[in-house]
Amino acid sequence: MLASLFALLIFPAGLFVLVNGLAYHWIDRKLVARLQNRVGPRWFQPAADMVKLLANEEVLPTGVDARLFTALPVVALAGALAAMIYLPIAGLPPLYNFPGDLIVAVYLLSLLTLCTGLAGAISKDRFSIIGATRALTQLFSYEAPFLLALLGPAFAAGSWQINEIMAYTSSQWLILTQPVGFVVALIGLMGKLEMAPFDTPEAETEIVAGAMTEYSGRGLALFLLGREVELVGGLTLIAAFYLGGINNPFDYALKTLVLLLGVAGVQTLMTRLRIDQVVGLWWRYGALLALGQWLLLLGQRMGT
Amino acid sequence: MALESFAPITALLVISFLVALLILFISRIFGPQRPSSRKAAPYESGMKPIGPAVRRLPVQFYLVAVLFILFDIEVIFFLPWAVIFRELAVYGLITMGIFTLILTVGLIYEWKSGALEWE
Repeated sequence: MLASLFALLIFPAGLFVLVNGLAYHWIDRKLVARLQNRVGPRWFQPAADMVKLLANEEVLPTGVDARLFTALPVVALAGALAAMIYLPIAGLPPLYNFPGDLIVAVYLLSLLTLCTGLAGAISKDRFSIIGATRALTQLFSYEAPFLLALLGPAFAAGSWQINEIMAYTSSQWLILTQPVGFVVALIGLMGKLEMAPFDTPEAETEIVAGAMTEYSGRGLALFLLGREVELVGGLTLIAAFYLGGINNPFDYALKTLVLLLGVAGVQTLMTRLRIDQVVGLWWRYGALLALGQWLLLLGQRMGT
Repeated sequence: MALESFAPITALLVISFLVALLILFISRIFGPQRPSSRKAAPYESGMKPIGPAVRRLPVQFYLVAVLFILFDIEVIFFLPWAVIFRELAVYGLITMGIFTLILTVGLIYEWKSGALEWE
């Protein structure tokens, strides 16, 4: 009982994931800064931001439902954290599993975007409403291809259980046999996290902070923490499925950091896409490529 | 599948909620609380907002949402099948191949009919 409580609260789920998320957030920012020839933040910057936000006053804007306004960031963070017990965080086997836990994990990881959209939609502020519309539209465009990209490994392993898929992918690197799925999954993760080329929902230069414009202090802190947790979870999931599984802490650090480097590279290279370009990109190429690879896999199965 | 396999996730959900609520309460105790009506006004770069916040949105947003629902439900059908395709063998492969083909044709039709053009 005490041991499982420790596992849920401190390590590998819970506190460890939060700290890990802050660290990866810093690494991401630092990498992007160095690639853009800037100095970048110091190592404690994300943690300092969190402390500052938590110490700030939270303003409850007029005309919003106070309960929903307070509850949404809580749900967002809780959902993202809850997904962690099914993932091989820090290279340890997942804490719990049951057949079909991948579907639950993917659902819990998309809860954050839904909460962001709802948070923007209940605000009586036009920046928030535009941001919420864009966030949900972006969710609609990447979600189906992202699911199709995760379907590839699940199909190859014949299971929706994360540790069974990992047992399969540990023996062979799926990035070699399903390169399209890997790219779609990684770009889908960037869309999920609203990272650089897909940051239309919170484009600072146009709509302040998008759906989170009205949030200040702890509400904003919880949303940002949720996103950092999701960064860790998403990178772990993709590394476990496409980069030959995660079987020890060294594997975990190396593979997720390599993925983070790739993500930072894309962030630096691309400029922000317009929302119709995001939709077009996913529906035209993302979905078709994922479906095409799926058909190829099917043909391969039929051949053998 | 037994219902108790959901027990850990329920426990963790409750714990995560408690942790997030704890963060809220700690900052409520230590953070400043000086509300004012100007501070609580909707953000408009310091100006007084003019007109309603909810305005008309381009219909394309609606179209994307509807297309997503259709496509996502179709993708859901893959999920159970990917687990039992070994039992279904060739029959399952052929039917699923036809299903995917129809899905792809639908997607191409959607593209060609201009549902993705925002002009």
